[in-house]
Amino acid sequence: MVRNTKQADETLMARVRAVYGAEFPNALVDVSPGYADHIHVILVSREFDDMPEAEKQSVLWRIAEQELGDDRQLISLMLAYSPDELK
Amino acid sequence: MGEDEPNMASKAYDTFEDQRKAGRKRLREGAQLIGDPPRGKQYRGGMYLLGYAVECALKSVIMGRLGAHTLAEAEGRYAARHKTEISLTRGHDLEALASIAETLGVTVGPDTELLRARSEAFRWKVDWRYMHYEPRQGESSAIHFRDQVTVYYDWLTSQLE
Repeated sequence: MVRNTKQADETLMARVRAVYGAEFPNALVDVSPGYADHIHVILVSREFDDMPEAEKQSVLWRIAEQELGDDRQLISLMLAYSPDELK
Repeated sequence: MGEDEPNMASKAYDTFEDQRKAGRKRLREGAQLIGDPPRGKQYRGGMYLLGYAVECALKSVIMGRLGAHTLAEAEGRYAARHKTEISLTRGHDLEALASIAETLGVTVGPDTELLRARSEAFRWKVDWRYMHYEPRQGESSAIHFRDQVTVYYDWLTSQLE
């Protein structure tokens, strides 16, 4: 399988980490490289307790749209969990 | 094996039409297993089939963009054009397949709804066919997965036109 000819931008990963960290100050925010120059974002927060999956994704992608502009195209995976979902 | 049963081992199912048709059928079956409205706990089977439909769609799009009739032919044409080896026949990682498609001009762009649908599809793992599924929000997660994967699948197949 073809693998990264380009690598995820460290500056972008730090920016994404900062944006979601500011929106969810009590969350664990993990940003990591995906394929090519894309990135993966995983958040774990009590704010997602009992929140339906569709609502979680709406919240996260609205933030991406407002705060990251065209760079949101480089997010290939966005996951949000309540700690209870991981127990 | 009875006389009327096809010899499954003799066919590779690796042509453009094989993949395109399988994708369409598995998408429909996956959606039916999850149900509308949901009617049971067959979520993992349904979600597995939905993701497999996306795998077939991605392989179809890659073959289509390369003008290839089979997966092996697509691998050869890609290697010749991009000087990079790819493995489509054993490729089950949707993000990896999509990254190949991107190099052939199949890019999602800035459409947030489509980016969201792509992200949901990329959750899929081929190992789901072996797994039981009992998340706390099983029904809402399965329905969300079905709806988002369908959006991404429809967009991918529109790239064949």
